Amino acid sequence: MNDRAGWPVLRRWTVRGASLLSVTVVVAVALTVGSVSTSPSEVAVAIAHGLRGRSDGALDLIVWQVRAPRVLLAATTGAALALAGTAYQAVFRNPLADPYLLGAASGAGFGATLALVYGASNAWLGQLGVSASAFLVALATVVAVVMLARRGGRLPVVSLILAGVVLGSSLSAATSFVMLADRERTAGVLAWLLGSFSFASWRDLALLTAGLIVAVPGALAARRAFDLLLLGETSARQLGLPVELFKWTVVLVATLLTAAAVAVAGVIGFVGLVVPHAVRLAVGPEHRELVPLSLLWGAAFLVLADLVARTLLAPTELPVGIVTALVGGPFFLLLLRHGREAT
Amino acid sequence: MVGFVSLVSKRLVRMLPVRPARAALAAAALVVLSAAAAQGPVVDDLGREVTLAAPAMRVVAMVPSHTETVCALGACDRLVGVDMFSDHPAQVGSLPRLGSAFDPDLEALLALEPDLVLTDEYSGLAEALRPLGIAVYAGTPQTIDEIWEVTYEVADLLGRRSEAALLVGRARGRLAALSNTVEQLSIPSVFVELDASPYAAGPDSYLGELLDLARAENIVPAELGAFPLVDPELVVARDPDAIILLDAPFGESAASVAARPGWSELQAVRNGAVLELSQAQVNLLTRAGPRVADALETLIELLEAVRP
Amino acid sequence: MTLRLRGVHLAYDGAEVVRGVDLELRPGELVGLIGPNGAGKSSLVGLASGIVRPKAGRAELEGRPLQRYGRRELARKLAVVPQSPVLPRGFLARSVVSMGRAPHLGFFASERVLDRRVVEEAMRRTDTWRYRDQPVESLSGGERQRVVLARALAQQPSWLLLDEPTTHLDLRFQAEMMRHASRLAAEGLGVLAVLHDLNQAAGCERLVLLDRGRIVADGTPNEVLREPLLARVFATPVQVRPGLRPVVLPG
Repeated sequence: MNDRAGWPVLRRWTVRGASLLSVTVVVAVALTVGSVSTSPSEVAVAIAHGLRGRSDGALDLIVWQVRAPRVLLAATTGAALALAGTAYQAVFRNPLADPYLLGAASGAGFGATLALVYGASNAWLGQLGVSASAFLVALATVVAVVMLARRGGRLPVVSLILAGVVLGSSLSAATSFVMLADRERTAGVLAWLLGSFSFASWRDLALLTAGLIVAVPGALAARRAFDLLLLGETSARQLGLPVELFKWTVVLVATLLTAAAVAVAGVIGFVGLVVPHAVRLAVGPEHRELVPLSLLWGAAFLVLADLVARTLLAPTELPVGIVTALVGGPFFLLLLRHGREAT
Repeated sequence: MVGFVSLVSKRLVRMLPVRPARAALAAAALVVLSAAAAQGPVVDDLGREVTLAAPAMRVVAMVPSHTETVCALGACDRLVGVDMFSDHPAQVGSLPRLGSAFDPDLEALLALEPDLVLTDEYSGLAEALRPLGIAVYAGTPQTIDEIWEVTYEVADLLGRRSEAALLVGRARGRLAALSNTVEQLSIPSVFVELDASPYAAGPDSYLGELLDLARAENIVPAELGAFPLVDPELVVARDPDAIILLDAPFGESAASVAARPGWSELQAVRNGAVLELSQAQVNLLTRAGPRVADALETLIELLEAVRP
Repeated sequence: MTLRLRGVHLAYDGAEVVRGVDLELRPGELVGLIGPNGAGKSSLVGLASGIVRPKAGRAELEGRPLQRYGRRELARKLAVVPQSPVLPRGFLARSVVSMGRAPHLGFFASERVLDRRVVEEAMRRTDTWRYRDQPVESLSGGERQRVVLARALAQQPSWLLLDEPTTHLDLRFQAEMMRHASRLAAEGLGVLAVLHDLNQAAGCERLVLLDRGRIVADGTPNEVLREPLLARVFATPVQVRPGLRPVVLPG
């Protein structure tokens, strides 16, 4: 029989502090490592220049315009996906839920494919661009899933999952179909689908940060509500939670966040699924710690994964989605085994 | 201006259904273009204007055909970095490799401080580089006519216009001469396979055009597009005189083709007319660039053995 | 100051499950709701807690219709111990009970000293304080049920609805649970307990017998537990041994 004593305040803040520190260290390391070698002081100087709007030479350009947005984008994407995963796992009361459950990935993939394949011949699509197209279709997909799953004013969890799976598969098929139309661009689509931070820009970062600025305070406020949902919808209602409204809101915000993440980085799996589980393993399922720690660990994880993706096989890059799968997959299997043995 | 006219004429040319008429119109347009030698801004395949204060001296080429073009224009020494697939001419082997257009090593590329990057229109590399203030030309030739256009455009950016005129003139001359040598020959029907799916090269592709100049008939109809995924039944139904395997370097062979259901009975298979290309030949036949005449020559040689 | 159902009707999928029920619960009362399966007992709990709206009729708490109450406001007055509560793995008993403070706390509000004290008191009263730092999955059925009761008490309700609180419990815990319920009523709460076991129900000061959606008896155990009535409602012969506390046996 075990014991996990109720956490004393000191321990809570130690864990949070350590997590924050880890993220900072990981980001600093990632900023220093790249295919062009740079010393920490050179990096610091380049960042100082960048913050002041100066650009003196290739090193400044590389660190400030290529590496910095990339590393920061990996951090924010990791945080966004981990948060979305945590939120979905609470709302669906299902540990296998991940941010792509409601079809955001398939939708984004389809949108990106349309833009990549027809963007040259269709002026409007060309203007819109791949990211915006991916974002819009991802959003539209989830809206469609929610509409399909609605029963009266309610959002039954099972219908949501079913509708998400159905629509997701249809869109994947449609994506493959469009890819066949133009072989040249198929390579581009595949590369996009596997997820990558290689063309990260400050603009992408701004988009995702805006999403997080909206989502994070909401998620922190909703921590108790997430716990309540774990008691079952009826009990949660009896304890005063407006369950349907809450579900709608969470699904909407988590979807916006996921769609934004996919739009800027492609489909990166396992982060939204595995990070919340890892945090639970370490500190337990209460959302009071789970939410902030998932954000921090998600950021650190993806920055590390991206670092590995761009240095392991230098000068070629591995799609970061492959790295997260290679790490996340076995880890998840371990989690499943651990879970079984514990019961 | 030159760029704009070239864009428009490309579109017009594609719209015409009849090939000889297209060739004539294209030739006419090109004469006009060459004549209008005013050094206007260059417009690439993404419709963006590429303007340089002075001819580019530090060039990065992220597509093999651009590498070959730069060198063919006599500016090989200006290349500071190339993609990993560029292998011609031999002297580029010593240049830094920067990944590929789809998977570039951005940091290394920027470290070279290029004043011009030549890349393609599909990969997104252009969109990534432009905000960084780097001059990017994004466009690759998809047809023979586009080879001339791109050559001129790149030459404008390098300040090598006269070399371009020479290069283009010589290449077109060789093409015409090679075309003449096959004028009286019999016409084989050919299936050009890009991979085992099977993806094929249609008449509107670069390869398709070479095939036409080499006096061979493409069994793939033009309506299917430049690189269609065809129904294997089409191949079996048309029973071509020859099959050219561009996927031979990836393992396809006469034997593996014969093993496909129904294909063992094809005359190409029975007569040993399944041509397995080497990687070098594949490169030559798929990179629409300055070696177009060499490509046609190679193709004509390959077809010699299989003309009916 | 009562919890009152007036002429409520409820139907699921076209079938009427509650037909014109009038029921009043007063503070300080322990009322046992009995009846065969499918009689509509759980539905009545749903109606009384505001989870389900009646097709006709009204549910009122302290003079106000239930839907006029804000969700959290209602949760501060009325608590439900459900039939088979779901307790999430990995949560400590204390954390589960703390969730009962949710109606008293806003979104960003953290637990105050007051909340921790209420939680401790609720747990001590239900004799669960000693398991406070254990994960709920390591507790026995009875202990878990008491934790859920503690959670309900942490809401500091004036009204308590218990839906079959003794099913799946050992005899010992069944008796305990009923003692808790009596004590809470004695302390002034209005307690409605849905009970399966008629003998347990006999310990309540008032019983309400439900049959196919209608109340067929409402009174003291001696008034309600009568052989012909029970035999009819439960469709089986029964024997009732009368006394201060009647005993019901299968006939």
